[in-house]
Amino acid sequence: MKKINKRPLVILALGILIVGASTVTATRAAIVYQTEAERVNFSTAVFSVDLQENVDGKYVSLDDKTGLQFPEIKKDGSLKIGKKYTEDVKVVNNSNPDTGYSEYVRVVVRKSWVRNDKKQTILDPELINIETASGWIENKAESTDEMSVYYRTTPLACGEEAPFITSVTINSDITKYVTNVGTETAIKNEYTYNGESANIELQADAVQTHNAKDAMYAAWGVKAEFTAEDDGNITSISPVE
Amino acid sequence: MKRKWLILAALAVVTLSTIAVTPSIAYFTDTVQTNGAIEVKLGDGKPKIDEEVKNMTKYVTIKNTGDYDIFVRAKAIYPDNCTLTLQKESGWEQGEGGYYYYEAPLAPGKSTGSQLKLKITKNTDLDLDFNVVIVQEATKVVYDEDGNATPADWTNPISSETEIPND
Repeated sequence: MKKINKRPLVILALGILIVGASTVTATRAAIVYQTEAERVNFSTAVFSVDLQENVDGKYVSLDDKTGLQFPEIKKDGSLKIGKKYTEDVKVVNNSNPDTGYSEYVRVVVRKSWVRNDKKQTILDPELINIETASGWIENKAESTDEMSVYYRTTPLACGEEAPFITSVTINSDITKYVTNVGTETAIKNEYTYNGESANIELQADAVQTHNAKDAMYAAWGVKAEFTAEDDGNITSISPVE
Repeated sequence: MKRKWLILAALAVVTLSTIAVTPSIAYFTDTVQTNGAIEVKLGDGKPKIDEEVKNMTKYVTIKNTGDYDIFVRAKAIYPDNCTLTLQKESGWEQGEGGYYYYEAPLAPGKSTGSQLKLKITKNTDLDLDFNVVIVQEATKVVYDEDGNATPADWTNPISSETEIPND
């Protein structure tokens, strides 16, 4: 034993020989037993959610490049303050049909007034009214004057869609925010909201329905109760902790 | 002895690392985001009056030069030695405060669809010069949910660049 320890090169050579021999054996085994039938191709499942707006009878997919068009307002030529404009926006589960994944969806609606891409924080976002379709519950604990979070109570099956926004109204009170700027010879009305834009931002989130409670908590940070462990209907959403 | 301590230390590090790393679980999620803006135009513009007199009748048209829909009304100021009679014309009605009211809202850039026609009759045989001055007033149109104009609120007229006479 002492003789071997004194010859480290012998130990190294033995090690290389053992490792080399085992590799060659494994390779040979793979070549011998591989057949076409044993090949399995794995592909990543497409889990997806889409927002679509009805523009003149045709639904258009929305994203950060294709924004909301508000076609009914455009038809009027100019915005009529106080009029409730029909707006048809829906949420679609457009996951890969092969996977057949259902999903829970929520939509975060952010409202604000902007001018030249700058948010006007002193103006009231509550003067922008958005009506939603039935089947959604608003989690008041997450909502503010500027932001509302709506949860679809039933899961959306693959290929299924759910109407979300039904109308948009600019509150007529905006005409009451006026100041008179006077000189010695003239009086001019200046409307606080003149030239401002009502900005509506939508963010649709989807999460898997399998192991729903943990998935929703991990993804969105909310604790929800369901009628079933998987694919159940949402019965309550507790405040964010 | 030294070697023993090293082995113990290595084992401790391995055990601690195993405890510290919690299992991570991934869930299927997706997000899509969009936005849109609705521009609000409320700027006032002094309504423009076009008037002419033909055969002792004054013809008046008013144009909305502002950015938003308005209701308009007009009033004639004239001396006692003449009388003005509204010639019935669709769209115009005589109402409160001696004003003639145009019933439909005027969109930006649009003029009254029909002219206000006022027949002037002299009450004297004397050949005197006189003026009939037309003044206008406008107020913004507010709509109800169905898109119908609500009655005009004349207590809240637009007053863009209203001239204040110098004393």
